[in-house]
Amino acid sequence: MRPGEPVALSLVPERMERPSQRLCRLLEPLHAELRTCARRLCRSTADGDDLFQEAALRALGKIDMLDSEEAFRAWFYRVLLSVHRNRVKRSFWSRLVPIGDREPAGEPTGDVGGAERIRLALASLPVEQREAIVLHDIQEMSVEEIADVQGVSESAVKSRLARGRKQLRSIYKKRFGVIDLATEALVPGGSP
Amino acid sequence: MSIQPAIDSDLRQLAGDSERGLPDFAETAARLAGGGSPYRDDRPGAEARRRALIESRLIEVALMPVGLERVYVHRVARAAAGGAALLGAAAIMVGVLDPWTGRMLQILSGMPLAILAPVLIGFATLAAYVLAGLIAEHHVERRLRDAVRSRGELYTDIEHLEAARPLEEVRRMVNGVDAVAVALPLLGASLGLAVCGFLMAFYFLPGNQMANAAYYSLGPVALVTVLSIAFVIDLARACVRERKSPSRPALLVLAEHWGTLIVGGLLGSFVLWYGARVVEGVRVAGFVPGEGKRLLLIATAVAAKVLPLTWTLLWVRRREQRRVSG
Repeated sequence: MRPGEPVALSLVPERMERPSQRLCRLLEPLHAELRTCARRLCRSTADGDDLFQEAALRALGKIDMLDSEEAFRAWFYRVLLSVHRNRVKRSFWSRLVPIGDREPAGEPTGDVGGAERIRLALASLPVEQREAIVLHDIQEMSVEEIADVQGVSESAVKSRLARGRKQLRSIYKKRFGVIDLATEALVPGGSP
Repeated sequence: MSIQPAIDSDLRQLAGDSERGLPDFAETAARLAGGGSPYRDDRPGAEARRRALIESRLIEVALMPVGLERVYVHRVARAAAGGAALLGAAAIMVGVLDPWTGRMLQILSGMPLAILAPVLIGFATLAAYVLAGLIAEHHVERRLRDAVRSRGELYTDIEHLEAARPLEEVRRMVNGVDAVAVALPLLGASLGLAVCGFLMAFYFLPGNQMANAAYYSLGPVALVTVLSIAFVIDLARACVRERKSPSRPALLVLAEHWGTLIVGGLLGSFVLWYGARVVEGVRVAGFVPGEGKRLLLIATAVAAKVLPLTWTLLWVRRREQRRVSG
């Protein structure tokens, strides 16, 4: 091959499945479920999308360690939660400073939507409790599945759920006051 | 109003809200295929990376020492020439041992076997050298072209181009034919010359005497041939060992020594002198020397060829190794 000669194009023969191809194959059917879970764990949709992308890249680096493809869902959840916890730990400011479509941090205004309200309330919870509530109450995972994903016992999950719910109620009571479910209008200072 | 229903309602809203405007999986797949590029749309970056890699590999190919390619071509050509000489010698020996084949060879070529042998072996050697050289040149070029070739798929190309090391590839190829380039020429030359010498020595004898002498000398020739093959195999293995081990094999050190050349020359002189006496004795007095003497003569003749040839091939190899490592 002499320099300057045109570069010939040809097709390569079929080769073994590359890690990225394997991950895409496994991830595609679960994409919607996992991405929505990532969005629910974060303060905003954009944060959730970033979390999902970061988890996907982390999973790409570790896909060789996945023994059984049947266990991929739980495995990816574990990766997702691990990345989520790292993000929460390493960037405290990111929970406070909004980026993109995030609402400004601080006390919500009176016309805040239900989704935004629960996001704010969840963001105030310890990360383990937040994960447990999101996985159980929104993702509809069983306690056993959450215990597997979080790597703790079932009783620990139940405890996290109970304490998380209690704290949520407390946050709703203190920060949002009485809620009129019909209008979603906030009445500050009221009692539920 | 209880708070819990409000929380449950908000959780449902969050569930619905997070399902809206889900991006297509293709975006994630593209990022994963790119191995996690920091760019959201990493394709332009990947294309630039491919161009840069192709350019870098082309420069590597352009700056590659020409000598490296030449060494590979010469080694392959030498090995092929040796192989051709070996086959030619085998064909002639079949002609000697099988009268029908011998007659066919003589009829087809219009030459007696003693003349046909050097012509056939020489022609086969030359043709193989030229042809194998051309093929080897084409082969190296194709491998280098492969190292800088785009295969159409962007990330496959990047993976391939990052892994490609044209210089190392050619070095590996050169080392791959190292032992064969010593063994086959040595074997081909020693056996080809042995067959030619064997036929020419007896060609000048009268009919019956030639047949008898040739017949009685086949055993010693076969024995010496087996021994020389064993020597060549050991030498080739020593060449391979030399690349893998820090210490040089004793056989190589011995064979590369000047003394080997001198011993070969002395043995050659002895063979010429003693061979002339034997041939003269057979022609004049019809006296065929005993088996021990014939074995001594044949073994010395083969050693007189093999030793200088070995020394010469190893000298060429040393020069080539210097060009390869440089």
